[in-house]
Amino acid sequence: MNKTNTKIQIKNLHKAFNGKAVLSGINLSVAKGESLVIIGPSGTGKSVLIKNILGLIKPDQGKIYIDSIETTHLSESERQPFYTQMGMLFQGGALFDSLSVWENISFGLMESQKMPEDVAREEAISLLKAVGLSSKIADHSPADLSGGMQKRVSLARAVATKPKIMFFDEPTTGLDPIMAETINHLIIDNVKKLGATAVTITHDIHSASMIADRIAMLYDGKIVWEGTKAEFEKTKDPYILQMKNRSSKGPIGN
Amino acid sequence: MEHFLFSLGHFTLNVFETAGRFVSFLLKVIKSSVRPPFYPKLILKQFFRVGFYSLPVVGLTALFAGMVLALQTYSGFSRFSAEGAVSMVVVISMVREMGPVFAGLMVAGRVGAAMAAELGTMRVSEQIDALKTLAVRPFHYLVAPRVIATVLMLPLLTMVADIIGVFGGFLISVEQLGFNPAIYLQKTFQYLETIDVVSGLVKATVFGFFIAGLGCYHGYYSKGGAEGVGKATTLAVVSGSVVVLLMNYFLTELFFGA
Repeated sequence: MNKTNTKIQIKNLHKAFNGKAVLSGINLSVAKGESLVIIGPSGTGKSVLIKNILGLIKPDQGKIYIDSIETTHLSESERQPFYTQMGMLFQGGALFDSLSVWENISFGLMESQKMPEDVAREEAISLLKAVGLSSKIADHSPADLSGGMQKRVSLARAVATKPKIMFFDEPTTGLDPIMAETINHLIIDNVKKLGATAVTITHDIHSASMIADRIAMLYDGKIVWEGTKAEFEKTKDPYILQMKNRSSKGPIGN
Repeated sequence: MEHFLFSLGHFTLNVFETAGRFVSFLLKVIKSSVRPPFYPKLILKQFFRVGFYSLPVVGLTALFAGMVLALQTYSGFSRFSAEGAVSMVVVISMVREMGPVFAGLMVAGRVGAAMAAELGTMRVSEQIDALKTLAVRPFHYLVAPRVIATVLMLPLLTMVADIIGVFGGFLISVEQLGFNPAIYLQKTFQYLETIDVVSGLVKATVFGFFIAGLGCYHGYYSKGGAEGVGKATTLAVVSGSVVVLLMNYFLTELFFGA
């Protein structure tokens, strides 16, 4: 892979909590404009991995490069320019419950890009429509919305600042199949529209094969399989087969 | 024996780790309070929540503290015919001690708890992480406005408590104990010195810093869902109240110690 074309590179990443290793030597890179999906059973450290890339968790060992700049040991203020080009959809939505729906969506626009309030509100309402929600809920509190609606508002918030790198943490978990499909399409549309690099973590195989250009499988703190979507569909790798067949027999034990 | 030494070492390490983390938290709070970005709107919002909405509870406690002070002083001092000193005892106790301490304890319960619960909930529901990913620094956005507002509001609340407390003492002295109102008031102000009032306000400023600091600290580092948030809230109130009382002694020693 061409080095100037690499957006994110992870080298030998280790992280343990209370002596229990969660990530043990992750090597992974994501090309510019590529959509990488990391799959794996629950509790294998998928969230920990993207939180390391985002700088929300400090790794014990290893290095992370974004645009060929090492970000592992940056201070909070040195990290600000990176955050302005990132967007993250959290698993639980993580909407600010002290703010209304539209204030949530335009939060990054108003606070970090200093957009005036009336312009930001209009922008928020057009983003609401883009994720298939009515502008009527703009002044509601996030607590009044259903889980699926919260996730869509959260998606609108994550893409509002037109980030160059997008992270999606279990975007379809806990949603009904129809809503999950809607979210998948919204992710694809938004990532394409922005020309962004995307990293998604999920254990939903269907969602993974829809969103991904490339797929990596995380198990037991290591990347056990990695390949393109076409390779993913053909592979006889026992880990991938077990995930695909939803089987309890195979290398992934409980 | 070995087990005991192991636990002792573990405990000691824990204490120093927590203390170190708290001190570095406070330093970060100070740094983010004096450096941009500032959020004046959020500071204003906290002014209301910390200051204005604490007025009823602080006023009520101050009123009854002043009233009981007058009653007790009268009943005690009358044993050696020193009833004339009631007004001075009331005003000096009120502005030096009761005003700042009661306002501090009330704010620790009301505001410290709210801060820990809010930040704690934001932590466990990943809202603090979300703030970071939206390129907003949580110390500047969440912690600094709360600490600044409490540091500025607690002295004002203390001043209100002082006035209401002295009024409570006056009320009991005049209405129930039969003092002459004009003489009582004259004596109240005759022996009052600037340092009495100023020391109380300085105390309140320091209390405000620690109450908000502890509230935010426990919330910011809470973990483990609803139970963790509950624990953070309890710790914020308990540690806030204890620090108010401890600090009160040392500041008194500093101002009036021999």
